[in-house]
Amino acid sequence: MRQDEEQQFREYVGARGTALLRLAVGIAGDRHAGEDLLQTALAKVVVHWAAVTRADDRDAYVRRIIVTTHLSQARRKRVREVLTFNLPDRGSNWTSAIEDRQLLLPALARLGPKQRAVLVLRYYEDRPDEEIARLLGCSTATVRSQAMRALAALRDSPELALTFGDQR
Amino acid sequence: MTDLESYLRLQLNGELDPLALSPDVAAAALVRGRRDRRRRTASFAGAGVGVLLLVGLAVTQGGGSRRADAPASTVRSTDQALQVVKALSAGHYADARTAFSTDLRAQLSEAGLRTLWTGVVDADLGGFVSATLAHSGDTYSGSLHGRTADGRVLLTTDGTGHLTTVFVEPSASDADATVQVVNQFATGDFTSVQDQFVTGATLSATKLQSTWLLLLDDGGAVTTVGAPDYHGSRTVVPLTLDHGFAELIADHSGRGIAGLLLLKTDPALEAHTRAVVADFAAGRFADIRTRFNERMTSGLSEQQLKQAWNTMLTKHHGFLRLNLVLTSESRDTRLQIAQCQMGQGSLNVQISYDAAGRINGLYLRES
Repeated sequence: MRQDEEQQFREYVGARGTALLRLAVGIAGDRHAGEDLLQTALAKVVVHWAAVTRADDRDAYVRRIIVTTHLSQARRKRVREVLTFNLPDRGSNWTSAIEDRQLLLPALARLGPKQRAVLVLRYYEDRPDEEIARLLGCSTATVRSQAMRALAALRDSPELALTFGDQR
Repeated sequence: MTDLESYLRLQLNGELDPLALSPDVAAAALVRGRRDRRRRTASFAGAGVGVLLLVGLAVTQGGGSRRADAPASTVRSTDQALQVVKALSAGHYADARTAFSTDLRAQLSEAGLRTLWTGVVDADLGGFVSATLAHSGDTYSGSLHGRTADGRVLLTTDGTGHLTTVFVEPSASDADATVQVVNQFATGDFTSVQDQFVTGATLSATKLQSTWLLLLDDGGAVTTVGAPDYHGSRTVVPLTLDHGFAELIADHSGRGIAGLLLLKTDPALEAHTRAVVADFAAGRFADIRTRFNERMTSGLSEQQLKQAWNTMLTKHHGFLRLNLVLTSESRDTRLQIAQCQMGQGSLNVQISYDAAGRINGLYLRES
């Protein structure tokens, strides 16, 4: 990467990084995982910077890298060692304190990676289903079915069941 | 729109909008991106002096006749992994390559394999004497004993049992690397710790820093870094703090650190847990119950204990050894997880202790 390209990259991250971080944290499930996801995705952006700058919609290109990185990490985690500082078998302490929004991300984190991405792209980024389908590399029908299943799973989650469990 | 959808929109905005990007993210991404670029363009030949590191995906069978003692074309057990090492040490490189994946075979010819293997084992270790391997998931790792020095060997397989990585090195550099991580923590060089992670899902430098500071807040300064100890692919470095003990446990994949645990430890409690596991292994279930608190004593009979343990023994082909004991604390309860190597797979014996040191919870968990 040439120096002028590095400068372009820094300027791009300076301008769009916070929005990308919010997306990454939303779909990754927590702040740290989101920062790590964004850093990994941006490293890929560095590798493919020439292609990124040629893209019609640079943001869409980078968002797609974030989403696909997230999905591929989730696939890899099924078969690989996961980095952790916490013992994996420590019990969880569920509460029904719905007013505590800190509980939303853990509830989202228990969804499948694709379902989580669909909800964040749909309800936080307000992307239409057609665009979400392009980002995820699937059909619009799949996006709708994933969203439907994700919402159903949230309704059944320990945190939200008391409030939304009867909305079916 | 349902109420849940409105709630989601509201809460996601409330949760994510306040986030702001730290200023060093672009610089960190540039460093990683440059490194990834170099990796993409680097050829295998540059894998380093005395180190053989290859990655592949699938397998094709080699032609020609096979020796009677040739390794199997897939590696699904420690014995089969050992056969590959023995084939290499006997100079039967073609036989060893039958277990390689397609990419591995494509990248490394028989002649190249000979050059690289002898470059480590003959040149650095003075010739092969023996090898010991342990199995953890899809990884087989252990020691190479040479005439003049010892080394390390690591084989990884894909889901079909074909070799995707072969790693040999003349010294115990995993231990060195783990001690180096301790030093990097101590000097606050968390970015260098991150650089050694092999997965994309690395822990953030912030998380590394906060966990390290939590440990120091609780236990005081690190006074002694103990000698590293191997458990399969894991290296455990014991740390003595001003007010307690800790362990840094690194899981090495052959290309860097694939797992990292920083845990406070309690040697006295760990000895207790090891004694419980020894009682299980020897069938001394009554002795285990003497360590129970009142509630556990009334709720879990000797017969139930025996039945649960024997079920696991049958299912996992017997108990082999206790590997690691991990410690966790939560309010008045201290939890210990004893990771046991079974004949097939592993088993976690999870024991929680109350403030008085009595067992108030016990769980046998397959892992």
